[in-house]
Amino acid sequence: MTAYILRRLIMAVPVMLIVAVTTFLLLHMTPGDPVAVLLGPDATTEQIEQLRDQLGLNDPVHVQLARWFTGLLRGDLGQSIFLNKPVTEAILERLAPTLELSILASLVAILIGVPTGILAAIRQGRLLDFGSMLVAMVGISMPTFWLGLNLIFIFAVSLRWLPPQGYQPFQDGLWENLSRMILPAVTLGAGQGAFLARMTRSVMLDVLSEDFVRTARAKGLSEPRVLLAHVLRNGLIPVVTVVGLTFAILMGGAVVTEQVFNIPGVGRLLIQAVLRRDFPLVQGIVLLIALVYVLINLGIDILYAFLDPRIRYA
Amino acid sequence: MRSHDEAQRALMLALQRRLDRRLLLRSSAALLGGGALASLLAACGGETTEEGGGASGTPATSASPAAGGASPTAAAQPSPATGGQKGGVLRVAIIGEPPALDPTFTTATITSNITWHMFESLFTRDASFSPKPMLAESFEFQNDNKVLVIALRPNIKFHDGRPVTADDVIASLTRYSQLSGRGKNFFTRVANLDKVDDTTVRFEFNEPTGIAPVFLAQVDAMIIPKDLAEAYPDKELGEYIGTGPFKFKERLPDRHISLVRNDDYVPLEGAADGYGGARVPYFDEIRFIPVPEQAVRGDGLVTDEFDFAEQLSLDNYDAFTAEPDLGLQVTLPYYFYGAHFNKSQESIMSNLKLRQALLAAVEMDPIAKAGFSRSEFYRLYSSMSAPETPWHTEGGAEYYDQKNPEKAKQLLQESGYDGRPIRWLSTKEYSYNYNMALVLKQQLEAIGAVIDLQVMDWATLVKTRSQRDAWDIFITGHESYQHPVLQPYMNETWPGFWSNARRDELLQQLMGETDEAKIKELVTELDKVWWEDAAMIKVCEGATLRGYRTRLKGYASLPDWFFWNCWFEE
Repeated sequence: MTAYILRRLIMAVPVMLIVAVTTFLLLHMTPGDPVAVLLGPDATTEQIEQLRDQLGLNDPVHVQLARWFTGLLRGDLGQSIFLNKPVTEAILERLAPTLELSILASLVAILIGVPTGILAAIRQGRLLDFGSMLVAMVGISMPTFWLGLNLIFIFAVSLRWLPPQGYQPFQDGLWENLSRMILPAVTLGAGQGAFLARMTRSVMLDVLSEDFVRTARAKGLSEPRVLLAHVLRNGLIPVVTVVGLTFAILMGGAVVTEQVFNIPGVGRLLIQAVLRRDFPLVQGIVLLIALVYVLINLGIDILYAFLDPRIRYA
Repeated sequence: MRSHDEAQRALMLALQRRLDRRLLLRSSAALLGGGALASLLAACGGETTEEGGGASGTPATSASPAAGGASPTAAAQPSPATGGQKGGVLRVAIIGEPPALDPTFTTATITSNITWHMFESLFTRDASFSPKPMLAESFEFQNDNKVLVIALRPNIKFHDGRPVTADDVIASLTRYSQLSGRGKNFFTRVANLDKVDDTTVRFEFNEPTGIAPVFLAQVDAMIIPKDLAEAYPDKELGEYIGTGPFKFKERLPDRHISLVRNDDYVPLEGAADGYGGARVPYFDEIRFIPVPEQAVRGDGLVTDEFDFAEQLSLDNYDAFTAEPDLGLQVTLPYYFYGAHFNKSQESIMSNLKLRQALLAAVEMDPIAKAGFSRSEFYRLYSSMSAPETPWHTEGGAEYYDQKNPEKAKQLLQESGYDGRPIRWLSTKEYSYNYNMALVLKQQLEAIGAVIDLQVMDWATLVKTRSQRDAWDIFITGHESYQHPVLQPYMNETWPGFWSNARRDELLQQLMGETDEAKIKELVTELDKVWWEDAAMIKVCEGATLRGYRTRLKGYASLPDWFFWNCWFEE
């Protein structure tokens, strides 16, 4: 197993390299000047050129790429142009809100998705099945920011139950922290929950029609036991894959949600960095998201072995 | 854009608690349908990179709360001596993270608005936007405005307790001369800057420079300790020690920038006067919270998450006025907006007749309305300076709002224009920018010009406009309450690339002059040259909308916000 994990990690290196180079080149092909944004609207051309020189932005692209890459090999992601601090530090500062949001949104997705999917499968063809799948369809189709804006105006502006924006760390009190996370987590988790519900339902239906289920029922097991011990256990594997990917998708999806709810996380940092053409910062964040995908995929594969004793990695 | 606007309208109605379900459903459908992502990206837009003020079409006039009326901006000036109470944390929603906390380093408005609570200059601006001593106690011009002697106020201290001396002033202004664009420009006239004694400095100029106090009243000419100025000669400050009524506490990017009261601050005697006069800090702490989303700033203000929010949506003006605990400021004077021509040889717009043709064609009111929605939110006048300033003139007024298509067509013919597309850079990040461009395009096409409207994000626009061969027209805004000499387009390297010998002469004379009547004459002539040379199509002055909880007292309705002399009423 250890050898397998090591091999997978080594295989991740070329993936990350491709992501790094592609991001770098794409960004440098995009028009826009970080220095003009940094120095403000009234800056003169001389001032802009002077700072571009200082920052090495006037060097040819291959020179800039080589410089960035050498740093990268040493684990140095470079310096954020706009924030004037190391990229790693800028990202680490924003990681907590994004991680918390992604975890809570995953929870929302699982809590909505898995039970709904199971219930719909059990009640296949009945009103509950039809109704829940209709709602799920709407949920999948709904743009995150639109749902977010509506939740804000219903629960924050009209009812005044929850704050409309912002982030408070745990240290400032659990409720202070959670009250600001509920709406974003529901916004972000709802769509994935709907997707998960449809996925769970379809997997459950497949398993329910398997022979061993009929056998289990025939030997007189109670229905809950059939469902929990046999159907669910076997249906869980694809669901775990989806849940894992959900987490990765949510890390990326947080970009929009964080902007709508004014949460100072990695996602909002990414949007701002793109708008300001803060190249090193965008590159750093995209690399981080790619890394999260790679690691989560690896984590899912390892989890398979625990869930299904037949799976063994040599 | 339309779908996004519909959604905003629905939100506004919801605020009024008169939500029409059908409208909401319709706008939802609109959003779900066309261009939802585009709208979002536009909404997520870089208000952080803010140019001018009125992001997303925010107009307005300095104002009283629920009255909804527009009162002249400088009128609501409070006297700081009147019963302010110390204490409280003021939460201010700002349009985004500032690029730096150093106004000498960056020209971003958001930076100067935050940092002038910490840093002060030798002068500041009074209610008529003219220079007024701040750290200076007195000043005297000698030798036909070729020498300026400035005495510092005694007993002013930096936040770290050290007294402010002539050495600090010289070191700070030396840094200003190297780092700030305006500073560089100003110091081309400075032959010597010496210390007379510990609290007196002496400028010696190459030529008469009566304008010196105007330059020294800007935030970029701030005074910081000598060691700090010397530690950051050509880069942004890493430490924030000034003399202002508030001190730096912490900066957590995208979370907040926090300043605390400077209890050792000694205000000037007397009343407040514009940005000058007595400054009294009352709040324990001011927290500037970056909130790039305009809708979130509005929601946060309504739900008491913020005490003050800038650049609110003008579309929500009626909804905000219906809120009992909100005060509103429709800020005028503010910025004027117009289309800059690329006057460099690389552009088709270097043709004067062509520029004059386009200028003759336009009718301003519909364009202004497209940008700022309601007539209370904009003003139409020709001068580059607002009526509240000493520099407002009628120079060249005959070229403003000509709406004369016949004359325009004739000039177009005389210009030899061959129907080549005129490349127009526009952005939806600021809705006024795109909306005004659309109406202008329509008017110009009616006389036979071909307009190629290129829509891009702000960062791309800023980059593109610096390339002389890449564009012909773009729209932006400039402070209408700023001395004309300091307008960025007076610099030939600023996009627009305006060079004009007569203008240079006038600038030169204005730089030297201290006589008010003579200055008025010169700025009248400057306005005239600006119009005769068709440097740009100035359209209107547009307002921005700000809101505050009514427990905030003492707020002065001026174009740039500040929170000394403000307090909470319990």
